[in-house]
Amino acid sequence: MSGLDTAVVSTSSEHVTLGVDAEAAILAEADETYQARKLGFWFWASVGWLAFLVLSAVFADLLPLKDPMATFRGVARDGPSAAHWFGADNIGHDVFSRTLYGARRSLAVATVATLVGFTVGGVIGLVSGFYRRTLDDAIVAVLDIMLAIPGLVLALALVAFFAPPGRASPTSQTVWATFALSILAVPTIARVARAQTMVWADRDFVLASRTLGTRNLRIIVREVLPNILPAMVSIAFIGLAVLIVVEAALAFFGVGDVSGVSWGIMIQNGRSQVDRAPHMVLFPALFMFMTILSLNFVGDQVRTFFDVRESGI
Amino acid sequence: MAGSGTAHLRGEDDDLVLRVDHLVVEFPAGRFGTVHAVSDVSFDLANGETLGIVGESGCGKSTTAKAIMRVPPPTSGHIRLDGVDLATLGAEQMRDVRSRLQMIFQDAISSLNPRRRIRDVVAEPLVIRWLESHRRSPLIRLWERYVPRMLRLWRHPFVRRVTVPLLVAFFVGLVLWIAGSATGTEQADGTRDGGIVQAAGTVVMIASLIGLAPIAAMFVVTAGVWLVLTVLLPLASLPRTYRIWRERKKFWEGAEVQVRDVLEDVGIDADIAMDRRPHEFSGGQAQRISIARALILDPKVIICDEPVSALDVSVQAQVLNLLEELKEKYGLSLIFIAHDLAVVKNIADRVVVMYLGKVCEVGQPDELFARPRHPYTEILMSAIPVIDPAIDPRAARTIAGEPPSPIFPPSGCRFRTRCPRASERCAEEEPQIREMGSGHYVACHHPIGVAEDQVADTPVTVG
Amino acid sequence: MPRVRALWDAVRRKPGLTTTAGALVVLVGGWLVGLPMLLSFLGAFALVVVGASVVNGRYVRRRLFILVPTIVLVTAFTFYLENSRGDTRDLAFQILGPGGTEEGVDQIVQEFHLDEPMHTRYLLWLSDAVRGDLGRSAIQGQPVSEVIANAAPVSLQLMIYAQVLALAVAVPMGVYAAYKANRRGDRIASTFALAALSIPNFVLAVVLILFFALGGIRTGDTSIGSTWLPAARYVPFGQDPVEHFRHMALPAIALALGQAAGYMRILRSDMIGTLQENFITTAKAKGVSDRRILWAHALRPSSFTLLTVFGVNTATLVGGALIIETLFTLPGLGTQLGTAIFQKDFLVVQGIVLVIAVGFVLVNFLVDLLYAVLDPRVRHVRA
Repeated sequence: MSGLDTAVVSTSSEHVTLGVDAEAAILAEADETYQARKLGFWFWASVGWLAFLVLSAVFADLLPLKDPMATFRGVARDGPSAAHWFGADNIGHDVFSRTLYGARRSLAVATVATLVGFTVGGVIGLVSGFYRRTLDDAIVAVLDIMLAIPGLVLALALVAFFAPPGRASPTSQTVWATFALSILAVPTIARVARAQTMVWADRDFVLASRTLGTRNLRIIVREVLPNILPAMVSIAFIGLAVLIVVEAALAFFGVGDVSGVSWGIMIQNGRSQVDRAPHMVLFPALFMFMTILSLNFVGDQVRTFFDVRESGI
Repeated sequence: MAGSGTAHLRGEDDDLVLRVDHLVVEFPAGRFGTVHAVSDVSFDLANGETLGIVGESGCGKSTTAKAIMRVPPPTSGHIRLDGVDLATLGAEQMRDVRSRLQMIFQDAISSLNPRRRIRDVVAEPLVIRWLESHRRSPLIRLWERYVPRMLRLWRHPFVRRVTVPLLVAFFVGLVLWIAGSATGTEQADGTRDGGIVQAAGTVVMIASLIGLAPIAAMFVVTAGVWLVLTVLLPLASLPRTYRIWRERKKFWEGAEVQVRDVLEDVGIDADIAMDRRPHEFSGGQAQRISIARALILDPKVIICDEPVSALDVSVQAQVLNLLEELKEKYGLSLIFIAHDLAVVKNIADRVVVMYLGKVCEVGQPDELFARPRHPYTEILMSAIPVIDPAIDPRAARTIAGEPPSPIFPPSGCRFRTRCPRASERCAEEEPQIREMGSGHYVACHHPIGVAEDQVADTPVTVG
Repeated sequence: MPRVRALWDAVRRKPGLTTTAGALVVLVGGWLVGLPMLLSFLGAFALVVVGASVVNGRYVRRRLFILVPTIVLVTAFTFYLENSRGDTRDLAFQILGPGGTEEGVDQIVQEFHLDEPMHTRYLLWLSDAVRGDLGRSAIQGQPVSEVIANAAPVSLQLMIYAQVLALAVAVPMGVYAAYKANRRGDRIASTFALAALSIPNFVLAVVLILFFALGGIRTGDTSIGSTWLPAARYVPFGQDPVEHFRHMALPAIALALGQAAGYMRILRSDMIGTLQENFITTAKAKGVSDRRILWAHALRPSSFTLLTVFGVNTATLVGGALIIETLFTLPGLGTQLGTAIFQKDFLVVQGIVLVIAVGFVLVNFLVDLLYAVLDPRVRHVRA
């Protein structure tokens, strides 16, 4: 099997199943005759888009944007124009500024959840893959059960039960949404971390380190961890993409903090107006699409880039 | 040949650096039984000597090497380094000992961490020694002794044998309860009375929970203690971390010098190499770097596990010469494991031939080549290709088949299934090692060159 | 008796094939004949277990061991989750719905045993569930099993159409991309796949609705789009097959596109690896046509990852595709589950979770059987 690509099945929010094929692809040897892929133009273009998005989300207040919550009279449902670059929605909000502000919530929640998942999942996977035996069996069983539950359903259930819209504060809702997303991220990242750890911990240099009397903690941190990081970072990017989608889906359902603005909320609002004012949906959808595409692409490229370097050609 | 015995071991007054007695290494092999990788192997290594260990793949040579290094420790047997039995050492003392005993591996590039630079890789032994020289706080040492004990408790056969059946019993009880309840009669308050089946289910469930309770409590309590200790760990290790942090610069200055020196000794240009990664080097260079890493602590013994098998022939010669040089310069003793006899002939002072976890024959290489006494050795020797048009290839004796599985080794002499000289005795009685002339030992009932009537029934031991 | 023996021999010789076929027969036949769904599920499952144990008994026993605990754990977890907030009276009010009175509360408490400890309530529910009585939906008033029985076929149909569509698109594309690896054809195909993968499916659904159901974008007098495929309502197959497919087309496409892209990439990746193996080179040297090599020789060994992922997806989709169903107003398990969660209709949630758990395990078993069919090595070694 070639360790080329395919770490993601689908960014369908129905089922956040990434890990299985990622495991298989990453466990496989790097293809020796595969051309060395350098980080080409499209990679940097994707990085550029992501950077633009992050910066505009972070510095949105400083940019000359119209107030996303302000309604402008007389422009309801107008298409793109000079005054409103992306047009206006049915209430009169400026779609352009809402799109940029909307990035904030999506990115923030998804990034935090991914980081948490990365850390927790990484540790679990490392420990499981390094120590093996019963601990590994137990952890794998738990991870399998976690992966069995349809992700979106679990997230909805968690937020609906513990921070129902209308009864819990917006902060509480956001916190629970982030927590639910983290739970989604952990099993996938843990599986990849485990698969990679099992591969690398068997190598001779780990044995060599043991013959020096190195303690396990140092072996895990100094020898194994640096080698599994590329695969984990790659899956983290892709996981981030999926979580952005799930977060938008949650917002779409009205779960989580709906008082603000996010892409999911915009698409939900725009759904009913889609025949009269399609730009309400199309622009946030376009932004979402480009962000996810960039994340997927960057994730893929990161992995293939490091794969090739390993074989030393 | 199934060679047990210690006839070939030399006496106490000889200058012995390493002595291996009755080494046994066995692994569980799933449901198939145990792998008898090494079964009662003994040998010794004199100061300044190169001992070669040869044999086919699967004969246990690499396992022996790892057992000596105690990664993992052998099932039984004594390994004495300078007279000290390694099994008697605690973890800390073992770490001190490791500086005297080092190892190099077959695939050099994969024995170096691809993500680290050469300077870090070669300096690592120094780093470990330096880190270990700082004593850890008592709390941490307590934790270190606690964890294996806790794990041993968890893995205790009793716990295993009891936990799983109890869990199964619980779910069986649950199924019984459900079955009873589902088929039972409807009652006034809406519940169902499932009669005997349901009652039985309840009983089984409760019984299994009662049984599981103490075990669960044990797990929870021990894990709780572990958790508390682990959380306190970082705090307890702060002073030491601080001390290490302060000394960093001084250490690395000294380490850099040592790394350069040792790289120079192995013939690698330090300025070019230090900041590179392993995959940027050729196989031969990587092996030199690996040797440098082994040398940096100034060891007494280096175990070389097939260090040249993966290299081109020309490079092999270079590395072998290097090893000879370094042996002189550093005063080393080597254990050289290989399956290529031509190589061993060049480098070894003494050779041990192994087969399926046992010792066949021990002697000096020239002697073994000229007068092999063991049928296996003879066949190994004749398998070396010799380019001479006068030799008839069909006359060369080769060995048939593959070695039997180490899970089910043949009875008596393990070589008998492929041995042209095997007899009934070979199936019944395991041959002991005995001397066949100065320094030449064999474990065989029918050694070559010895008339059948001269084969003694009792082994001849040499003091 | 001899016929039974002949049948048994057939099962022994090709266990995977016969038992899978048998399971499908039981499922479809049961549905057509009108058997309670639980029964036909159980029958199909039993057949699958028989087939699997003939292939590799030890492996099956191990998996069976985890079966009951998994289902119990999943349902118990959901049960606990739902009932953890609010005390007895709150729960009673929930079940009563709007317009509950004090007497009603007491009656509810009695009827639903709300004053019992949670584990007792769970066990009661479980024992009822095994009989097929999943309780009554508080909001809808119908028995839960009826709700599920009405909703499940919709979800299953959607799943089947979407998966078939996804495979039909993904397999040829994947093979083609692997064949033209790293050349122009592959680059185009892979880019398309990555793009398709990156569209969140609810966004895709809205866009599809816009362009195919609502007439698309209108600028001035021109418009890009059509009103060809409707985007709402569900028409059962029995009622009007053509309309049925017309209404299911957009949802199936929305669901299938992302899946297809994923499958295509997996297949392409595995196949590129397989095509480099020696036995392919040998086949080429023997003069076997490229087409035969791709389809008859290389496809089978390259399908393992695809099969695994396909299996996991199918298993998860058993529970309905929440977003797609909601957007296209299809009355499937997904919409039921979603509304039930929001309206705190506990029993419906429990029932659907049970169905999901059982369906999930069943599908996983089937996938493992298929492994054995595809890869003879698995038959004997896997344990």
